[in-house]
Amino acid sequence: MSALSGSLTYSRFFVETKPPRDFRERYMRAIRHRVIQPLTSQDEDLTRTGFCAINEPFELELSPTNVIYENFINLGVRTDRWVFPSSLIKARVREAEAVYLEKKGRQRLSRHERTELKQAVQQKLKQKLTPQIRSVDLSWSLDEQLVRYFTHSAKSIANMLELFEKTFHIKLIPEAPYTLAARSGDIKDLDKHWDQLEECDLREGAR
Amino acid sequence: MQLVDRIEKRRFVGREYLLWLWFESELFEATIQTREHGELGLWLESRLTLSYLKESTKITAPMPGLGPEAKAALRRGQLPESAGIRIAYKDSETRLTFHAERLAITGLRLATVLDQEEEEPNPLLMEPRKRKGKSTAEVKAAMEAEQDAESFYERMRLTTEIEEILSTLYRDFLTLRLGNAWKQQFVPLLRRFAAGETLDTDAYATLRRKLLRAAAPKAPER
Repeated sequence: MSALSGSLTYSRFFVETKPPRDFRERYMRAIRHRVIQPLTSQDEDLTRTGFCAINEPFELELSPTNVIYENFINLGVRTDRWVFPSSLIKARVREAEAVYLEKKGRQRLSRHERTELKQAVQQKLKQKLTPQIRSVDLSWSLDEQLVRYFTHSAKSIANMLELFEKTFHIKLIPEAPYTLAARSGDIKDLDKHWDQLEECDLREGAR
Repeated sequence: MQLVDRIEKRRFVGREYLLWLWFESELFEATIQTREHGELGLWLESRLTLSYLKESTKITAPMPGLGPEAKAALRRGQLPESAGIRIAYKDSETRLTFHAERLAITGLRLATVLDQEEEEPNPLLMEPRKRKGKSTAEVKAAMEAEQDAESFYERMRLTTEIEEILSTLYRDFLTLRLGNAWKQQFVPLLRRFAAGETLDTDAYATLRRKLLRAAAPKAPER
């Protein structure tokens, strides 16, 4: 998941607009507003995504020094998530249900009561567990108008796209055969040709 | 057609691109060329996955495209989905796995120089900074940050170089793929390739050159 060491695995996204002249100030301001607020046991959210320094999930002091590398904007996209082992949750909910039913002198719980009990159990477990922390590097090459995001995980990509759009008000275009063809800009009547394409069939006897 | 359909319903173009890379690398014995880069080495290695609907063929071999099962999969209507690719350009070799439908790269192993130089900061370089009133720890941290930045720039430069090669080849492929000759001339050649027949390399090179030159009339010929 790192851009700085080892082999690289990444997805590319195209940016249609050029950065404004005052991008350093403007983008840094926007980035600082979206720095992750680490999840704590007091929070109701089960998951949260925000920025951290590239390759440094615990570095949340972001400044041009650790974000702007000449013509690149480099960030980490950190996601904090509460993960409760399902067997533990089941056992604790069963215990809580038994206590609750005995207290109320009833045989069954309503769906609403069961949900509330589960939430109460999760809240208690948060005091004993720590959230899972994952960070994925993101590198925005301003000259190339290209964002490289160092994972192929669909969920992580969806989180990043949402965060990126909220931060910079820019919609990223994922790389695909069509978007790369369109980006080159020098193919005459691309859309007309593209719409008429048929898949190449090499089966024996196919013509 | 809507944008989403142009993306989703034509992902097969990526598979056809990978097929074309495989075809050219085999035909030209792993030495292919672009107008911008000149000659470069490119070949499939380690693994090749082909598929059609639910049927798939996975081949793991040093040169997976050369085996009879790869061509047999093509003849069953499967197209390449992903492949290990090695690119030899200038003085370095790069390995990657290419995922055709998203034109995506995984496991890109760059031949970086700086990554190999894991050395302690030079004390002579630290002295002038210490004189500016910084502690040894601060100086060391600043130098490590500089090294990280240098390493990042080098990695991005090499990554961009590989991406440019693949993008240029994709542009050349599209010129052929979107032209009138594709159905009449290229598909029959690909069928013969799938059948394991020996093809006339010179005739193909002439056809390729002619079509690419026609699409870029002002470009100087190599």
